[in-house]
Amino acid sequence: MSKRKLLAAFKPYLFIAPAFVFLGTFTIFPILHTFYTSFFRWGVLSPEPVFIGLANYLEAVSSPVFWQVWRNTLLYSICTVVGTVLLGLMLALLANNEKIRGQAFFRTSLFYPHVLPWAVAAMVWMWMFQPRRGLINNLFDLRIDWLRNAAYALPALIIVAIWKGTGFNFLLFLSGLQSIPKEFYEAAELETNSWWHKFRYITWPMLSPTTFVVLLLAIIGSFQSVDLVYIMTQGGPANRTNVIIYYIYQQGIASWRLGYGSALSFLLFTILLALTVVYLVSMEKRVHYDR
Amino acid sequence: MTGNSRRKNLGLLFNYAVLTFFAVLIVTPLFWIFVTSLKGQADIFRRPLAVFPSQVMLLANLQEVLRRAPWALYFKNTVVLVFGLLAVQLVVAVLAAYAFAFYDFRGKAVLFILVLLRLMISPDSVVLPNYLTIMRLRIMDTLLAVGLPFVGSAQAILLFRQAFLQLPRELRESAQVDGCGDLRFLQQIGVPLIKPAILTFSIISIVYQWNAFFWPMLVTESNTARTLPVGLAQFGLRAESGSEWGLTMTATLLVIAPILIAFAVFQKQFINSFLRSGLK
Repeated sequence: MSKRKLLAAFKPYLFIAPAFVFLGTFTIFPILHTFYTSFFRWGVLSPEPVFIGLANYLEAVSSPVFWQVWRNTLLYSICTVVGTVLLGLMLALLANNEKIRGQAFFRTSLFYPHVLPWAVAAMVWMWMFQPRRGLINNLFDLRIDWLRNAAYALPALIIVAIWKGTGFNFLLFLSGLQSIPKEFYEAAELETNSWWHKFRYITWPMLSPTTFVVLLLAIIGSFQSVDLVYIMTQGGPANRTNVIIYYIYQQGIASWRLGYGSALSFLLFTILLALTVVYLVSMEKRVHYDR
Repeated sequence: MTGNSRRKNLGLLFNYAVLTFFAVLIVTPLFWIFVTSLKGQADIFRRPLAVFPSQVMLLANLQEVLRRAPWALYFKNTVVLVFGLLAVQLVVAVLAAYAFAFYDFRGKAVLFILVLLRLMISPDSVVLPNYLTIMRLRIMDTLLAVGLPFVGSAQAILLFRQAFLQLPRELRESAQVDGCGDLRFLQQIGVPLIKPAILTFSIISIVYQWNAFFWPMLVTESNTARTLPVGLAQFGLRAESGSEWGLTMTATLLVIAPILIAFAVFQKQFINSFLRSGLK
């Protein structure tokens, strides 16, 4: 009997064990290990790890490239997220009208980039951004070397990300809009005909719990994007498009500076962790509102 | 016609105009892949730029693309990776989700937060330590290396847990009274009942893994374990120096054809899956 009880107490752990073996090996252990190795000089110059305290962190914060990389990452994230959310919301508001025909056509043509690989997005946009034979310069009669120009390279990547991400936000907002009861608008129309008032006092408050979660997840996601940079610009010109994961790759793997790369990784984890806490707290609040 | 309804019609026209404008804008790159894949080098270099090719070279392009890189191998690698990984992900996640949904145990809350944490930290952020782990395991340049970091999927655990929680509690209790063990319950009742969640996750996982680039690129040094996006990027970056864009776009078409066909056929399931995953 007590053996059965013991078994019963163990059972849930057996069920979660496989998942945690993998989560542990490839997410939890790496975070702890990175924290540990970030205190060592380790890599090309020093095959055996040598304890150097906070030197890696100090090197990071005193390096202009480090700050440039974070500026790029933030700029890329914020512009991409604001762009895709505003565009997605605007298009969803326009499409959320039962008199609009061809909903399926609009949905498909706006959303399809989301299911394509980033590598494909990178390839076709490199071709369209090509300075002499590319579509964009020829169409608008420009002579910009988009991906090699310090001023245009990051905006070019942001354009690609907005192209790829708008359709997803469009879908999310459209389904959010469709779940708002019509009676609300009918009641409001007794009082006002102003589009802005209906948006401000019905649509927006009804959407905003969704919006916040969408925003946060999108920011967290675009913080960690690297495919476009790797293929289209390799962080250049002069680090103008270098983002945090690409920098970690450059320093840690390509230059084999494991200690410094670990410090960079751990700083990234700390920020992601903080964002996760914000997310969890806001989810908790959302649950309370629902009740 | 009253002024009001005329204004409404005008407004509708505006809606159509803006929607159509953006739809066309977003479809343009896809269109450009198609027309470029038809073009030979002469058309690529022609000035001024013409939209349509003077001579359709798709077959010649295709032959050259297939000659230059082992696409069949990339395709096989991608299929094996995507579906093999999905099978393991499903088993691992169903078991964990079942425990999180139906059992109370010590440390449950903390362990659950660790699952949520994995949701926020993408595998691309953990490349450095995971690269070292793959080296230590001596499995560099294998499909195993490409797939292992993705086996424990937080998204699957959360989706399935939610689905299990929505099942009536009595269902499991009465099954237990009848002497039905956990695994048999899962096999015969639990898993069939959460099929919609399993379908949702499967579509997301297939698309995600089919498209994954950075990590698969890092851990593959030769063609043996390369997937389609990695092969494409390599092909394209090599062809770029000769401005062989007709070839690159033909290769791109080759890579996206299966995705676009699947998307066209299962559009509803695709869209519902991504919607459900977006609103966790």
